[in-house]
Amino acid sequence: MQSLDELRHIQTQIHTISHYNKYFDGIGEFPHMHDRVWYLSVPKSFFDDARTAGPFEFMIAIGFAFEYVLTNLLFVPFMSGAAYNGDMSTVTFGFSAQSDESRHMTLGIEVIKFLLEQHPDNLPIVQKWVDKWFWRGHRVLGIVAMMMDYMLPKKVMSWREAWDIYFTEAGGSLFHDLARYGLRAPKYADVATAEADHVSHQNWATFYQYSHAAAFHTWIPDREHLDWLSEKYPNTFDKYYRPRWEMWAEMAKQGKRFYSMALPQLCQTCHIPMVYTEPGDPETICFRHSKFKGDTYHFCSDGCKDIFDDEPEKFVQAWLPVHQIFQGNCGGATVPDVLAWYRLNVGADNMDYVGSPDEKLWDSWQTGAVKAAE
Amino acid sequence: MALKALSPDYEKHIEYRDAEKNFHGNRVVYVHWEEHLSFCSAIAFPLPPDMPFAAFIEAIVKPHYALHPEFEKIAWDKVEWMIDGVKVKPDLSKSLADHGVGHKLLIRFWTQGLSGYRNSAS
Repeated sequence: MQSLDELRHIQTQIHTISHYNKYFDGIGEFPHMHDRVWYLSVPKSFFDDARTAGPFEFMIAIGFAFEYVLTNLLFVPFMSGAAYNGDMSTVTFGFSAQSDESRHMTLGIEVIKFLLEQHPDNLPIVQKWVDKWFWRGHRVLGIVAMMMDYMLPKKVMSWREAWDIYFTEAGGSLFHDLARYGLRAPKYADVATAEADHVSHQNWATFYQYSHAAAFHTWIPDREHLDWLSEKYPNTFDKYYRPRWEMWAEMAKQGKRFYSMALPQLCQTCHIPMVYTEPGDPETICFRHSKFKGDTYHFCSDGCKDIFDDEPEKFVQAWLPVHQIFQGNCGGATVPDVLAWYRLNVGADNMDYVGSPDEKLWDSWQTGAVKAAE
Repeated sequence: MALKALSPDYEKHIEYRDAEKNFHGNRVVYVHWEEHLSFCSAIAFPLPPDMPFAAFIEAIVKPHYALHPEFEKIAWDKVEWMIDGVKVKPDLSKSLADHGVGHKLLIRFWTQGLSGYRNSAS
């Protein structure tokens, strides 16, 4: 039943995309890009990991950790943001999918209760999967954090606020309910909660400096937007992230818009560039590594390291985009070779929003709207 | 084997996708300038193991960090280096391999007195 839902969801999503594809760049090659582009390797590896697990782990991964614990963070604040910004195509898809989500959540919670009631020996197995898939889901949802805090023109709530409501409060009562089976809240939930003050800023900064290799635009937030971020993130934004944007704004003003021309080190488990900082120390990258059969593997966090250490034989096989480029498997040795292999339309799909064809079109519409109103 | 697999000979079919032999004579080397997080992560390069440390600094490290406003202030003879978790004083004439830079190892460096744009670690 859920499979049929998911097929319908992808159809309605493609229908939504098709509206925007008439006007905006970077969307038209999404099935081709899915298996190739470096940042799409993040959600791809998440779902490939779930699909190649056993059926019970799959149900914990998708039915419980993703659908039950984390999905509200996607569907509630994100769809509110779409509605608030007049994006009715996304809302149409979101509302249609949302009614199915409640059924998927019911399925996930019933399966987890069933497994825990069958035999006490199942508890450590289920707990391990809950820990793993909470962490993997948290990493993937960092993309949503960035969209909410940086991409929405009109803000509805910050990622921090969404996390507090939909994970800390709602997730907290869920795990309180499951405590009767001996299940505890996911390991590193405290780390993820602390990261909510950082993750959107770190992710947008990453895409900002790799915009030349992405099929969407980035931009420096304007002053009003920076002030909103300062207000929403009083403990972190002014100290760590606002200076970063101000430095890049100065560079852009001098005609030196910042792009990093080297490829980033990636996490072996989540495939995200290793941009996240030490818990409690936002000035130092969190470097973790493990040795397996003589080789070294790197991780962005204790959560991702634990996942690897539990099943190294699986994760040594990860298709890490940066290493694949170096091995010569992605169209060639230069950035233009790789972008051609991605089918990325250079000069339209990528680079800063400022100066892009998308900006030109949008501005012409705004001018037209002003004229029509006069 | 830690992994629970249906196939009894799973181990025989594992593809070690990033084995050194797949990189055409190079080793993957990661480098990171500490306290300068406007470079969002360590950066990765495929490098020949016999590359002298001096060439590594001149041809790899310097060009990739040159855009930073503090770059010109770096006193290169005072930079503190760490290779695979160990602080070292590199011999510039010796190779990466001589310094124990194996495949997929991380080199971090600190520049004393420079802690990012307006001391924000950016």
